[in-house]
Amino acid sequence: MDEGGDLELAEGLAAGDVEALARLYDSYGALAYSVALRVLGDPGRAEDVVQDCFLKLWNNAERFDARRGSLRTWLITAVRNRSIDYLRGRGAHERQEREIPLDAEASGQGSDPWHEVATAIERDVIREALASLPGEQRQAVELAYFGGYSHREIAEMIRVPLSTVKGRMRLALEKLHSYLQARGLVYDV
Amino acid sequence: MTYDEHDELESSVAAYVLDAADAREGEMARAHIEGCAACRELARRLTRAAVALPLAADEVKPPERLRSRIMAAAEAGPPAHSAPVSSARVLSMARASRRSLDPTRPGRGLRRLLAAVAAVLVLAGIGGIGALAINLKQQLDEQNRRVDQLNSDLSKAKQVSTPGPIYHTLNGSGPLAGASGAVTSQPNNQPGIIFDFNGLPQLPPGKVYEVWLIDGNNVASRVAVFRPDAFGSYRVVSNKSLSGVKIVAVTVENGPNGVDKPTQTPPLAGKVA
Repeated sequence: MDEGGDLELAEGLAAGDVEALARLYDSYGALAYSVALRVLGDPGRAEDVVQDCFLKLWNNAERFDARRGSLRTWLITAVRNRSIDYLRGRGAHERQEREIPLDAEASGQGSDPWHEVATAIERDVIREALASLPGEQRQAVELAYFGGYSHREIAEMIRVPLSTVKGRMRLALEKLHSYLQARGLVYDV
Repeated sequence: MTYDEHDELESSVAAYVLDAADAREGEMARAHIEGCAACRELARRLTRAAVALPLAADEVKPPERLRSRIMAAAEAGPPAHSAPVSSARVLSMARASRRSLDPTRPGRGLRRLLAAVAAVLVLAGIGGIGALAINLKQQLDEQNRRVDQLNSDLSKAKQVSTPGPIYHTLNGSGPLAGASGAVTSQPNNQPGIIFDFNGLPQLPPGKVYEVWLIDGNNVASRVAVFRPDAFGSYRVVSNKSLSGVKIVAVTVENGPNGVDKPTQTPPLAGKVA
Protein backbone atom coordinates (compact mmCIF):
# COMPACT_ATOMS: atom_id res chain seq x y z
CA MET A 1 0.00 0.00 0.00
CA ASP A 2 1.48 3.36 -0.98
CA GLU A 3 1.42 6.62 0.91
CA GLY A 4 -1.72 7.74 -0.85
CA GLY A 5 -3.40 4.48 0.09
CA ASP A 6 -2.36 4.96 3.68
CA LEU A 7 -3.72 8.49 3.65
CA GLU A 8 -7.02 7.33 2.24
CA LEU A 9 -7.23 4.51 4.75
CA ALA A 10 -6.37 6.83 7.63
CA GLU A 11 -9.07 9.25 6.52
CA GLY A 12 -11.56 6.40 6.33
CA LEU A 13 -10.62 5.20 9.79
CA ALA A 14 -10.89 8.70 11.21
CA ALA A 15 -14.36 9.00 9.67
CA GLY A 16 -15.44 5.80 11.40
CA ASP A 17 -15.66 3.82 8.16
CA VAL A 18 -15.56 0.14 9.16
CA GLU A 19 -14.76 -0.77 5.55
CA ALA A 20 -11.47 1.09 5.97
CA LEU A 21 -10.76 -0.99 9.05
CA ALA A 22 -11.57 -4.15 7.10
CA ARG A 23 -9.16 -3.13 4.34
CA LEU A 24 -6.51 -2.33 6.92
CA TYR A 25 -6.94 -5.76 8.45
CA ASP A 26 -6.91 -7.48 5.08
CA SER A 27 -3.66 -5.68 4.25
CA TYR A 28 -1.79 -6.07 7.51
CA GLY A 29 -3.69 -8.54 9.70
CA ALA A 30 -1.60 -11.53 8.72
CA LEU A 31 1.66 -9.65 9.20
CA ALA A 32 0.52 -8.32 12.56
CA TYR A 33 -0.53 -11.79 13.72
CA SER A 34 2.70 -13.33 12.46
CA VAL A 35 4.77 -10.85 14.45
CA ALA A 36 2.71 -11.29 17.60
CA LEU A 37 2.90 -15.06 17.30
CA ARG A 38 6.65 -14.96 16.68
CA VAL A 39 7.16 -12.93 19.85
CA LEU A 40 4.59 -14.60 22.08
CA GLY A 41 4.46 -18.14 20.78
CA ASP A 42 0.85 -18.27 21.97
CA PRO A 43 -1.93 -18.04 19.38
CA GLY A 44 -4.54 -16.86 21.89
CA ARG A 45 -2.39 -14.05 23.21
CA ALA A 46 -1.32 -13.15 19.71
CA GLU A 47 -4.96 -12.69 18.77
CA ASP A 48 -5.54 -10.49 21.82
CA VAL A 49 -2.57 -8.29 20.99
CA VAL A 50 -3.55 -7.88 17.34
CA GLN A 51 -7.12 -7.02 18.30
CA ASP A 52 -5.94 -4.48 20.88
CA CYS A 53 -3.68 -2.77 18.36
CA PHE A 54 -6.21 -2.61 15.54
CA LEU A 55 -8.83 -1.20 17.88
CA LYS A 56 -6.37 1.29 19.29
CA LEU A 57 -5.67 2.56 15.80
CA TRP A 58 -9.40 2.56 15.08
CA ASN A 59 -10.10 4.62 18.19
CA ASN A 60 -7.26 7.07 17.61
CA ALA A 61 -7.18 7.27 13.85
CA GLU A 62 -7.90 10.98 13.73
CA ARG A 63 -4.52 11.59 15.31
CA PHE A 64 -2.57 9.41 12.91
CA ASP A 65 -0.26 11.50 10.75
CA ALA A 66 0.60 9.67 7.53
CA ARG A 67 3.47 12.08 6.91
CA ARG A 68 5.32 10.70 9.94
CA GLY A 69 5.28 7.09 8.88
CA SER A 70 3.03 4.48 7.37
CA LEU A 71 0.07 2.78 8.95
CA ARG A 72 1.93 -0.50 8.57
CA THR A 73 4.93 0.73 10.50
CA TRP A 74 2.78 2.17 13.26
CA LEU A 75 0.64 -0.92 13.50
CA ILE A 76 3.40 -3.52 13.37
CA THR A 77 5.57 -1.57 15.80
CA ALA A 78 2.61 -1.38 18.17
CA VAL A 79 2.00 -5.12 17.83
CA ARG A 80 5.64 -5.93 18.52
CA ASN A 81 5.79 -3.55 21.49
CA ARG A 82 2.54 -4.77 22.99
CA SER A 83 3.69 -8.36 22.58
CA ILE A 84 6.93 -7.59 24.38
CA ASP A 85 4.94 -5.88 27.11
CA TYR A 86 3.01 -9.11 27.54
CA LEU A 87 6.25 -11.05 27.75
CA ARG A 88 7.74 -8.67 30.27
CA GLY A 89 4.55 -8.56 32.27
CA ARG A 90 4.17 -4.84 32.10
CA GLY A 91 1.24 -2.68 31.14
CA ALA A 92 1.25 -0.91 27.84
CA HIS A 93 0.84 2.35 29.74
CA GLU A 94 4.37 2.00 31.05
CA ARG A 95 5.85 2.23 27.61
CA GLN A 96 6.96 5.60 26.40
CA GLU A 97 6.45 5.05 22.71
CA ARG A 98 9.01 6.52 20.41
CA GLU A 99 7.93 8.22 17.28
CA ILE A 100 9.06 6.57 14.12
CA PRO A 101 11.36 8.98 12.34
CA LEU A 102 10.40 10.32 8.97
CA ASP A 103 11.24 7.97 6.14
CA ALA A 104 11.59 5.07 8.51
CA GLU A 105 9.29 2.99 6.40
CA ALA A 106 10.61 0.51 3.91
CA SER A 107 9.58 1.71 0.51
CA GLY A 108 9.21 -1.50 -1.42
CA GLN A 109 5.45 -1.49 -1.44
CA GLY A 110 3.36 -1.34 -4.49
CA SER A 111 -0.20 -0.26 -4.93
CA ASP A 112 -3.01 -2.46 -3.65
CA PRO A 113 -3.08 -5.14 -6.39
CA TRP A 114 0.59 -5.79 -5.83
CA HIS A 115 0.55 -5.52 -2.08
CA GLU A 116 0.99 -9.21 -1.33
CA VAL A 117 3.63 -9.66 -3.99
CA ALA A 118 5.52 -6.60 -2.80
CA THR A 119 5.36 -7.79 0.78
CA ALA A 120 6.65 -11.21 -0.21
CA ILE A 121 9.57 -9.61 -2.03
CA GLU A 122 10.36 -7.46 0.98
CA ARG A 123 10.15 -10.48 3.22
CA ASP A 124 12.63 -12.40 1.08
CA VAL A 125 15.09 -9.52 1.00
CA ILE A 126 14.90 -8.95 4.72
CA ARG A 127 15.45 -12.63 5.42
CA GLU A 128 18.41 -12.61 3.07
CA ALA A 129 19.74 -9.58 4.90
CA LEU A 130 19.42 -11.28 8.27
CA ALA A 131 20.95 -14.48 6.92
CA SER A 132 23.92 -12.50 5.66
CA LEU A 133 24.80 -11.34 9.17
CA PRO A 134 27.36 -13.16 11.27
CA GLY A 135 25.51 -15.55 13.57
CA GLU A 136 26.32 -13.69 16.78
CA GLN A 137 25.05 -10.39 15.36
CA ARG A 138 21.84 -11.95 14.09
CA GLN A 139 21.36 -13.62 17.45
CA ALA A 140 21.71 -10.34 19.35
CA VAL A 141 19.15 -8.57 17.17
CA GLU A 142 16.65 -11.43 17.16
CA LEU A 143 16.86 -11.96 20.91
CA ALA A 144 16.20 -8.28 21.46
CA TYR A 145 13.56 -7.68 18.82
CA PHE A 146 11.58 -10.91 18.89
CA GLY A 147 12.58 -12.21 22.31
CA GLY A 148 12.14 -8.97 24.20
CA TYR A 149 15.44 -9.44 26.04
CA SER A 150 17.43 -6.47 27.21
CA HIS A 151 21.05 -6.17 26.19
CA ARG A 152 22.08 -7.03 29.76
CA GLU A 153 19.97 -10.17 29.71
CA ILE A 154 21.47 -11.16 26.40
CA ALA A 155 24.99 -10.54 27.71
CA GLU A 156 24.29 -12.79 30.70
CA MET A 157 22.59 -15.40 28.57
CA ILE A 158 25.40 -15.80 26.08
CA ARG A 159 28.14 -14.90 28.58
CA VAL A 160 29.82 -12.05 26.81
CA PRO A 161 30.50 -8.49 28.01
CA LEU A 162 27.67 -6.00 27.71
CA SER A 163 29.80 -3.84 25.45
CA THR A 164 30.13 -6.79 23.07
CA VAL A 165 26.36 -7.17 22.83
CA LYS A 166 25.96 -3.44 22.22
CA GLY A 167 28.54 -3.60 19.48
CA ARG A 168 26.89 -6.59 17.84
CA MET A 169 23.51 -4.87 17.87
CA ARG A 170 24.91 -1.78 16.24
CA LEU A 171 26.89 -3.66 13.63
CA ALA A 172 23.88 -5.82 12.81
CA LEU A 173 21.57 -2.86 12.30
CA GLU A 174 24.18 -0.94 10.31
CA LYS A 175 24.65 -3.91 8.00
CA LEU A 176 20.92 -4.47 7.66
CA HIS A 177 20.46 -0.83 6.77
CA SER A 178 23.17 -0.99 4.12
CA TYR A 179 21.79 -4.25 2.70
CA LEU A 180 18.24 -2.92 2.47
CA GLN A 181 19.33 0.44 1.16
CA ALA A 182 21.33 -1.20 -1.60
CA ARG A 183 18.18 -3.01 -2.69
CA GLY A 184 15.99 0.05 -2.64
CA LEU A 185 14.07 -0.93 0.45
CA VAL A 186 15.09 2.04 2.55
CA TYR A 187 14.94 5.67 1.55
CA ASP A 188 17.54 8.07 2.70
CA VAL A 189 16.68 11.66 3.54
CA MET B 1 30.28 16.13 27.85
CA THR B 2 33.55 14.29 27.43
CA TYR B 3 34.48 12.21 24.45
CA ASP B 4 34.16 9.06 26.58
CA GLU B 5 30.69 10.04 27.81
CA HIS B 6 29.55 10.60 24.27
CA ASP B 7 30.94 7.24 23.17
CA GLU B 8 29.21 5.52 26.04
CA LEU B 9 25.86 7.05 25.11
CA GLU B 10 26.43 6.40 21.42
CA SER B 11 27.06 2.74 22.19
CA SER B 12 23.55 2.50 23.64
CA VAL B 13 21.77 3.86 20.58
CA ALA B 14 21.31 0.48 18.89
CA ALA B 15 19.93 -1.07 22.08
CA TYR B 16 17.63 1.94 22.46
CA VAL B 17 16.36 1.52 18.91
CA LEU B 18 15.73 -2.17 19.57
CA ASP B 19 13.98 -1.36 22.85
CA ALA B 20 16.65 -3.43 24.57
CA ALA B 21 18.17 -0.79 26.81
CA ASP B 22 17.29 -0.64 30.49
CA ALA B 23 14.76 2.05 31.38
CA ARG B 24 17.33 4.48 32.77
CA GLU B 25 19.84 3.88 30.03
CA GLY B 26 17.13 4.16 27.41
CA GLU B 27 16.00 7.49 28.83
CA MET B 28 19.60 8.75 28.84
CA ALA B 29 20.02 7.60 25.25
CA ARG B 30 16.78 9.28 24.23
CA ALA B 31 17.79 12.55 25.82
CA HIS B 32 21.23 12.38 24.22
CA ILE B 33 19.83 11.61 20.78
CA GLU B 34 17.64 14.70 20.97
CA GLY B 35 20.65 16.92 21.49
CA CYS B 36 23.33 15.20 19.41
CA ALA B 37 23.02 15.48 15.65
CA ALA B 38 25.42 12.61 14.97
CA CYS B 39 23.59 10.21 17.26
CA ARG B 40 20.23 11.37 15.96
CA GLU B 41 21.35 10.43 12.47
CA LEU B 42 22.67 7.12 13.78
CA ALA B 43 19.34 6.41 15.47
CA ARG B 44 17.47 7.31 12.31
CA ARG B 45 19.63 4.96 10.25
CA LEU B 46 19.37 2.07 12.69
CA THR B 47 15.62 2.58 13.08
CA ARG B 48 15.19 2.24 9.33
CA ALA B 49 16.71 -1.21 9.64
CA ALA B 50 14.82 -2.13 12.79
CA VAL B 51 11.39 -1.35 11.34
CA ALA B 52 12.05 -3.94 8.64
CA LEU B 53 12.64 -6.74 11.14
CA PRO B 54 8.96 -7.76 11.56
CA LEU B 55 8.96 -8.96 7.98
CA ALA B 56 11.47 -11.62 8.97
CA ALA B 57 8.76 -13.39 10.96
CA ASP B 58 7.33 -16.47 9.28
CA GLU B 59 3.96 -15.60 7.83
CA VAL B 60 1.18 -17.33 9.67
CA LYS B 61 -2.41 -16.94 8.58
CA PRO B 62 -4.51 -15.76 11.52
CA PRO B 63 -7.71 -17.63 12.36
CA GLU B 64 -10.79 -16.30 10.62
CA ARG B 65 -12.36 -15.45 13.94
CA LEU B 66 -9.77 -12.75 14.57
CA ARG B 67 -11.08 -10.62 11.73
CA SER B 68 -14.62 -11.21 12.98
CA ARG B 69 -13.64 -10.24 16.52
CA ILE B 70 -12.04 -6.99 15.41
CA MET B 71 -14.85 -6.05 13.07
CA ALA B 72 -17.51 -6.93 15.65
CA ALA B 73 -15.82 -4.80 18.27
CA ALA B 74 -15.49 -1.92 15.81
CA GLU B 75 -19.02 -2.24 14.49
CA ALA B 76 -20.39 -2.33 18.02
CA GLY B 77 -19.74 1.38 18.05
CA PRO B 78 -18.01 4.07 16.01
CA PRO B 79 -14.63 5.42 17.12
CA ALA B 80 -14.83 7.19 20.46
CA HIS B 81 -13.84 10.50 18.90
CA SER B 82 -16.71 10.62 16.45
CA ALA B 83 -19.75 9.67 18.50
CA PRO B 84 -20.91 8.62 21.95
CA VAL B 85 -20.15 5.10 23.03
CA SER B 86 -22.86 2.49 22.60
CA SER B 87 -23.77 0.07 25.36
CA ALA B 88 -22.40 -2.81 23.31
CA ARG B 89 -19.21 -0.85 22.93
CA VAL B 90 -19.00 -0.48 26.71
CA LEU B 91 -18.61 -4.25 26.91
CA SER B 92 -16.02 -4.21 24.18
CA MET B 93 -14.11 -1.35 25.74
CA ALA B 94 -14.22 -2.95 29.15
CA ARG B 95 -12.72 -6.08 27.70
CA ALA B 96 -10.09 -4.22 25.74
CA SER B 97 -9.11 -2.30 28.85
CA ARG B 98 -9.53 -4.99 31.42
CA ARG B 99 -5.90 -4.88 32.46
CA SER B 100 -6.17 -1.25 33.58
CA LEU B 101 -8.74 -1.84 36.30
CA ASP B 102 -6.64 -1.84 39.42
CA PRO B 103 -5.97 1.62 40.91
CA THR B 104 -3.09 0.36 43.00
CA ARG B 105 0.21 -0.06 41.20
CA PRO B 106 1.88 -3.41 41.69
CA GLY B 107 5.61 -3.94 41.58
CA ARG B 108 7.63 -5.06 38.60
CA GLY B 109 8.08 -8.37 36.85
CA LEU B 110 6.19 -11.36 38.10
CA ARG B 111 4.16 -9.40 40.65
CA ARG B 112 2.93 -7.14 37.88
CA LEU B 113 2.00 -10.10 35.71
CA LEU B 114 0.11 -11.75 38.56
CA ALA B 115 -1.65 -8.49 39.35
CA ALA B 116 -2.73 -8.18 35.73
CA VAL B 117 -4.10 -11.72 35.75
CA ALA B 118 -5.87 -11.02 39.03
CA ALA B 119 -7.42 -7.86 37.59
CA VAL B 120 -8.74 -9.87 34.67
CA LEU B 121 -10.25 -12.41 37.02
CA VAL B 122 -11.84 -9.77 39.25
CA LEU B 123 -13.38 -7.97 36.33
CA ALA B 124 -14.86 -11.16 35.01
CA GLY B 125 -16.30 -11.97 38.38
CA ILE B 126 -14.24 -15.08 38.68
CA GLY B 127 -12.43 -15.95 41.88
CA GLY B 128 -9.28 -17.87 42.34
CA ILE B 129 -5.58 -17.33 41.90
CA GLY B 130 -2.39 -19.26 41.51
CA ALA B 131 -2.40 -22.52 39.63
CA LEU B 132 -5.92 -21.97 38.37
CA ALA B 133 -5.04 -18.63 36.83
CA ILE B 134 -3.93 -19.89 33.46
CA ASN B 135 -6.91 -22.18 33.10
CA LEU B 136 -9.27 -19.41 34.15
CA LYS B 137 -7.60 -16.98 31.76
CA GLN B 138 -8.27 -19.44 28.97
CA GLN B 139 -11.88 -19.67 30.07
CA LEU B 140 -12.09 -15.91 30.17
CA ASP B 141 -10.68 -15.66 26.66
CA GLU B 142 -13.34 -18.06 25.52
CA GLN B 143 -15.98 -15.98 27.30
CA ASN B 144 -14.63 -12.88 25.59
CA ARG B 145 -15.00 -14.55 22.24
CA ARG B 146 -18.56 -15.44 23.09
CA VAL B 147 -19.22 -11.86 24.18
CA ASP B 148 -17.79 -10.68 20.85
CA GLN B 149 -20.25 -12.92 19.08
CA LEU B 150 -23.08 -11.69 21.28
CA ASN B 151 -22.09 -8.09 20.60
CA SER B 152 -22.17 -8.79 16.90
CA ASP B 153 -25.54 -10.49 17.14
CA LEU B 154 -26.92 -7.73 19.31
CA SER B 155 -25.68 -5.10 16.94
CA LYS B 156 -27.28 -6.83 13.99
CA ALA B 157 -30.55 -7.32 15.82
CA LYS B 158 -30.46 -3.69 17.01
CA GLN B 159 -31.78 -4.69 20.38
CA VAL B 160 -32.24 -1.70 22.64
CA SER B 161 -34.46 -3.14 25.31
CA THR B 162 -32.40 -1.95 28.30
CA PRO B 163 -31.44 1.59 29.32
CA GLY B 164 -28.25 2.73 27.67
CA PRO B 165 -25.08 3.94 29.33
CA ILE B 166 -24.78 7.47 30.66
CA TYR B 167 -22.19 9.91 29.35
CA HIS B 168 -20.42 12.83 30.94
CA THR B 169 -17.56 14.95 29.74
CA LEU B 170 -14.51 16.35 31.49
CA ASN B 171 -12.85 19.57 30.41
CA GLY B 172 -9.24 20.54 30.86
CA SER B 173 -7.95 23.86 32.08
CA GLY B 174 -4.60 25.47 32.81
CA PRO B 175 -1.80 23.03 31.91
CA LEU B 176 -4.40 20.54 30.65
CA ALA B 177 -6.36 23.08 28.60
CA GLY B 178 -6.16 20.86 25.53
CA ALA B 179 -7.22 17.71 27.33
CA SER B 180 -10.65 16.17 27.57
CA GLY B 181 -12.29 13.20 29.16
CA ALA B 182 -15.39 11.11 28.59
CA VAL B 183 -17.03 9.18 31.39
CA THR B 184 -19.32 6.32 30.47
CA SER B 185 -21.24 4.74 33.31
CA GLN B 186 -23.82 2.06 33.71
CA PRO B 187 -27.46 3.10 34.08
CA ASN B 188 -29.01 3.27 37.56
CA ASN B 189 -25.59 3.82 39.13
CA GLN B 190 -24.61 0.21 38.68
CA PRO B 191 -20.91 -0.54 39.13
CA GLY B 192 -18.82 -0.07 36.03
CA ILE B 193 -17.31 3.14 34.73
CA ILE B 194 -15.12 3.78 31.71
CA PHE B 195 -12.98 6.88 31.63
CA ASP B 196 -11.53 7.92 28.27
CA PHE B 197 -8.89 10.61 28.32
CA ASN B 198 -7.48 12.38 25.30
CA GLY B 199 -5.09 15.22 24.57
CA LEU B 200 -3.12 14.73 27.76
CA PRO B 201 0.41 16.16 27.80
CA GLN B 202 3.21 13.69 28.45
CA LEU B 203 4.36 13.79 32.05
CA PRO B 204 7.87 14.26 33.39
CA PRO B 205 9.49 11.19 34.94
CA GLY B 206 8.07 10.32 38.33
CA LYS B 207 4.68 11.92 37.75
CA VAL B 208 1.34 10.23 37.08
CA TYR B 209 -2.20 11.26 36.37
CA GLU B 210 -4.59 10.26 39.14
CA VAL B 211 -8.34 9.87 38.65
CA TRP B 212 -10.71 10.82 41.47
CA LEU B 213 -14.40 10.52 42.31
CA ILE B 214 -15.48 13.44 44.50
CA ASP B 215 -18.73 13.23 46.46
CA GLY B 216 -21.09 15.95 47.67
CA ASN B 217 -18.98 16.48 50.79
CA ASN B 218 -15.89 17.10 48.66
CA VAL B 219 -14.36 13.82 49.77
CA ALA B 220 -12.19 12.37 47.00
CA SER B 221 -11.73 8.65 46.48
CA ARG B 222 -9.04 7.25 44.23
CA VAL B 223 -9.86 5.42 41.03
CA ALA B 224 -6.58 4.88 39.18
CA VAL B 225 -3.20 6.26 38.32
CA PHE B 226 -1.80 6.16 34.80
CA ARG B 227 0.57 7.65 32.27
CA PRO B 228 -0.92 8.36 28.85
CA ASP B 229 0.17 6.60 25.71
CA ALA B 230 2.05 8.22 22.85
CA PHE B 231 -1.21 9.71 21.60
CA GLY B 232 -1.87 11.43 24.92
CA SER B 233 -4.73 9.01 25.49
CA TYR B 234 -5.61 6.50 28.13
CA ARG B 235 -8.61 4.46 29.10
CA VAL B 236 -9.43 3.41 32.64
CA VAL B 237 -12.04 0.82 33.47
CA SER B 238 -13.28 0.79 37.04
CA ASN B 239 -15.72 -1.39 38.91
CA LYS B 240 -16.79 1.57 41.03
CA SER B 241 -20.12 3.31 40.57
CA LEU B 242 -21.06 6.98 40.27
CA SER B 243 -23.58 6.69 43.10
CA GLY B 244 -23.17 9.77 45.30
CA VAL B 245 -20.41 11.13 43.08
CA LYS B 246 -20.60 14.80 42.17
CA ILE B 247 -17.39 15.38 40.25
CA VAL B 248 -14.88 13.27 38.35
CA ALA B 249 -11.44 14.84 38.41
CA VAL B 250 -7.87 14.21 37.30
CA THR B 251 -4.77 15.61 38.97
CA VAL B 252 -1.06 15.28 38.41
CA GLU B 253 0.58 13.53 41.34
CA ASN B 254 3.81 11.86 42.32
CA GLY B 255 4.25 8.36 40.91
CA PRO B 256 4.31 5.56 40.70
CA ASN B 257 1.46 4.97 43.15
CA GLY B 258 -0.15 8.40 43.33
CA VAL B 259 -1.40 9.92 46.57
CA ASP B 260 -4.35 9.44 48.91
CA LYS B 261 -5.75 12.95 48.48
CA PRO B 262 -5.50 15.38 45.58
CA THR B 263 -2.69 17.86 46.05
CA GLN B 264 -3.85 20.38 43.48
CA THR B 265 -6.97 21.90 42.04
CA PRO B 266 -7.93 19.38 39.34
CA PRO B 267 -6.88 20.67 35.93
CA LEU B 268 -9.27 18.20 34.29
CA ALA B 269 -12.73 17.74 35.79
CA GLY B 270 -16.44 17.53 35.10
CA LYS B 271 -19.71 17.30 36.97
CA VAL B 272 -21.50 13.98 36.82
CA ALA B 273 -24.44 14.84 39.08
